Amino acid sequence: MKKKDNTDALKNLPAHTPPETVWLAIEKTISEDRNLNRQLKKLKEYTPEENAWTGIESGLKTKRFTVSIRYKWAIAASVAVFLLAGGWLFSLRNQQKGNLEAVIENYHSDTDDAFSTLEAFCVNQNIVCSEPRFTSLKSEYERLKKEELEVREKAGEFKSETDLLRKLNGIEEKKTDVLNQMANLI
Amino acid sequence: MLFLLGMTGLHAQTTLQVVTKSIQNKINADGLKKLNLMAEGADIELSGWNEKEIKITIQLITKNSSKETAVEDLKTMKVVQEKIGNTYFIRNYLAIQKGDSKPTSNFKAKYIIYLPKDLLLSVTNSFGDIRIKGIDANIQLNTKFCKTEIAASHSSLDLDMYFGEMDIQSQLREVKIKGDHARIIMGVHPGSLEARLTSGYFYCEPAASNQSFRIITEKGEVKLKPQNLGSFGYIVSSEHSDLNLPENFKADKKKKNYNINPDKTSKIIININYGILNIQ
Repeated sequence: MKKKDNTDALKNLPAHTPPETVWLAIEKTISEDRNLNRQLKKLKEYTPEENAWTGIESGLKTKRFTVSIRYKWAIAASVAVFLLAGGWLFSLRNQQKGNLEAVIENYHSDTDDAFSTLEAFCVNQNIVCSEPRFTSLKSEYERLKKEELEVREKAGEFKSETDLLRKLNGIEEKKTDVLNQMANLI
Repeated sequence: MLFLLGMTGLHAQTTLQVVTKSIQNKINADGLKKLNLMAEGADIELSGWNEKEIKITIQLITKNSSKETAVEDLKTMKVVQEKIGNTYFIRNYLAIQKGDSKPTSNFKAKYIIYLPKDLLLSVTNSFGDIRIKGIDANIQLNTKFCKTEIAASHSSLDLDMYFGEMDIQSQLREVKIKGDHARIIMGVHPGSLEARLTSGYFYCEPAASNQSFRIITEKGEVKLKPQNLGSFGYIVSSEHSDLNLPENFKADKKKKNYNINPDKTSKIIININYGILNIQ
């Protein structure tokens, strides 16, 4: 409580600037002090070397230069890291795109020949081919073909070639299963 | 020969007339080294036995909504049996005269054959089921859209398979497979294996000792479950494939090729492109 009162009191103290006459009086006292003037004259005088000022000046400049170059290196390093990361990501994306394209280019379903073989039975033999189960399987095969086409058109949207491979292999497996079921009915 | 007439309803709208002709005979197997069965649209049962003869039962079946048509179409179903050299041939086919209209009935042949277990066996078939049991000599199979099972046999196998399914629950010796969209399930396999596959699905549990196990596959899925993972060396090379391998398998820098346990004499060698591989 007391501490707080003093702090508040100190804050509330009015500020005063000493008049010019005070400084003039102090100066007059110093200049009239003969003993002080005598002692000052006895002090040895030194002239600094030529390079002292240069050294002081260069020291000031070097300090300024060191601070700025570190700052520049930091910026350069950040830019380099950013460019490298960007380049790496770009390269990775390109490689991934290349892998997806390789899969699409080289992965071809070859079940249509088998489907044609099964359909050929239906030219003469209508008993099995007119059964609802057989026609339903045919429709399922056509649906899977469309699904495969859509996957191939949207291959670029897959995150990895593994995902694309699994999808294409999955459809191929389903088509194979449908064709085997059709054959079982014949 | 025995003719049978029956009826069956495949669906609510039409009742089918079924006509069957049966053939039975026994062949002395002395001097024979091989049985060659060339079937079409047949369900086949082949069983090995210790007798020195071949016992053959064949049923030829036609189905049609018209009894008369079923009977007429049955006449086009032919079976030929003959011995040429040390091979016994059996074959069924449709005999259509030039100018005649093609039969409209549904056809099926059924074979039940007992043969000496050490006789070489060759079977060709399409659109049917095949069961082979108790055969110890080499089996040659060429199938299209067939469901096949090999049980209780200790033979070697040459398989050429187009679509269809194969279930091998036997301890076979050398196995060679050419599969196209084939679904092949093998249990524990102590013999060697050489497989060339296109699409399809292949499952096996290698248990070979000092044997080679090679698979080349384009597309499709291969799943291997070795009896003892550490007793095999593995060489896996792949292009654009989904590889699911044990954690301790380390690849080369490009993550395409693996050479694990190179000191092991039993090798599992796989080349896979655009497919899915699981080794666990």
